[in-house]
Amino acid sequence: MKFVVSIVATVLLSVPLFCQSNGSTAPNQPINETGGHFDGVPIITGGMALNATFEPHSNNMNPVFAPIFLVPLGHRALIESEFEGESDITYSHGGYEPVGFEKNLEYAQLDFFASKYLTIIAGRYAIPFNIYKERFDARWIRNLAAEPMIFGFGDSSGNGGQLRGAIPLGSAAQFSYAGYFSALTHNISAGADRQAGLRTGLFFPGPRFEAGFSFNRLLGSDRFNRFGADFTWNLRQVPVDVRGEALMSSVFGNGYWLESAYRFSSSRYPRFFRRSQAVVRGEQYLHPNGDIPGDFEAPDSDATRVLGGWNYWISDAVRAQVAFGRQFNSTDDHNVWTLGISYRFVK
Amino acid sequence: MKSLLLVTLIVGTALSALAGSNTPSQTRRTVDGELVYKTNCTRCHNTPPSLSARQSKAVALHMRVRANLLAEQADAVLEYLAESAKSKSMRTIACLLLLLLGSIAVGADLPEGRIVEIVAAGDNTFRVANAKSAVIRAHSGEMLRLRITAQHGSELARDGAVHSLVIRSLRDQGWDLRLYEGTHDYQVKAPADPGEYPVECTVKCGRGHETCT
Repeated sequence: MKFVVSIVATVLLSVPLFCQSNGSTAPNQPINETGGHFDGVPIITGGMALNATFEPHSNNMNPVFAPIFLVPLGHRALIESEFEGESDITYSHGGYEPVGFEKNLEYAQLDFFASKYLTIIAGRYAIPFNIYKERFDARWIRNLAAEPMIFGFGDSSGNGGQLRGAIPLGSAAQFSYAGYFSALTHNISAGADRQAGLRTGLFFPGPRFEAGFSFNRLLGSDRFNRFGADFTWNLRQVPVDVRGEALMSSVFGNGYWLESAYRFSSSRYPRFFRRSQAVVRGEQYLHPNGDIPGDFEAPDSDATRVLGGWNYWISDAVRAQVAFGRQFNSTDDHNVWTLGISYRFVK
Repeated sequence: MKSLLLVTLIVGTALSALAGSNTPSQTRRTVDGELVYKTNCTRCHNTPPSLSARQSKAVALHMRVRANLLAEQADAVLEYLAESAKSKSMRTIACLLLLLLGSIAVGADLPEGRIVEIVAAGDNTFRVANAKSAVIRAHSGEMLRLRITAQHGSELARDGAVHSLVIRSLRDQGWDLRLYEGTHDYQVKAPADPGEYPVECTVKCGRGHETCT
């Protein structure tokens, strides 16, 4: 309770200071001051996908539907929500496993743009731990259909409040921050742990390089810390993206992934290839000594995996993916094939 | 708990102080929406489908939160998306590309530049003389004399322009030409940065090509 009171107090203390920040100009610049002189309209966007994974002892098909609802409230607020429904159809050891349907409210939040540098978020939000969850998790965005092995530990949402924003540090760099507190919630589709944490990042627009650091502390019956580090680098001279994340936790274990993608966008390639992208990812996960509390999708022993994939945009909205890789576990080495198709929509 | 409270207070106060340290000129600086879009948005995803300006506003607000954009950056992206949507609906002649191959020293003996003959045709297509495709190939910094023959399509602008030849990112460098019927010469300089620069016609000149592929 003291913590919640302290967060609220900090918000109340900070907001007036931000509001004074523009000196003689208006306290806050409304979004339409330099942008369009018009109100936004609600839209439904998001994506749907069908992914298939083939491993020696099991084949899995995973249809996903994830609509996002965006409702602008004037120039200073936005309601945004994402629902994700997915099913798992698994054929394993000669028979089908029971087909399950999982539905989750990824986020349902009210964003209030308190100032140029501060957005206050209330409701259910995606936990900003590292970057994959917030930026690359959408099926139509991720470079490989299979998420990184450590992603399960960062794939969570919180119910509570969050402060976030960005501050320019001159013209060469930009500092971003997100601090949050989540209350314990028991709900099958919108549950959350009691936790707090932050992510800070430094973005250099010139080389398009960003590095971030994350901290999270669970505050429930299990109390422990985890740390994360992430980076993205979009080279300017060649259409190459490099990104990666690391997780450090005495309870969840340690791991990292490193991914690079090359887009064949140059006009020197035949027209067919210009819609293609080659991706390669290397990753490693080191399991902790004890059991991991909770139910997370992660290897149950040390694992190393290498994946190489090919993406092809059938249109701007439809993308086909194929990837092949090999996973090295301490008990079992095996190949992994993934096929996927994703569709992005905006209505 | 006390330490967390302390950290939160310090962060909040520090951010406030930083925010207050920006001068009005900094906060009101002009932001290039296209540059912000290419620097931030395309880091994660490809070009979204064409949206109306009012739809784009919802997306810009969403991305301001998701991608940690500054307010003026989100505004600039919104302006860019809104303008793109508008021009896309108007654009009917767009299959021309400026392709920069590399860097050469521009000599004083080439004051007027190499002549490139272009036809902005009545069927709302660009054609480049002696080229199989509508691509102007030039070297970085090369002076070009564009000899453009503009033909009347089915519509024209209020000022009488039948087409235009625009590279959005190079507008301030003269790549913003209003084309009137007949043959006229225009002198322009290829930009310093090698790359591909799509050319657009922003005049509503009639039915024609929608996209440059």
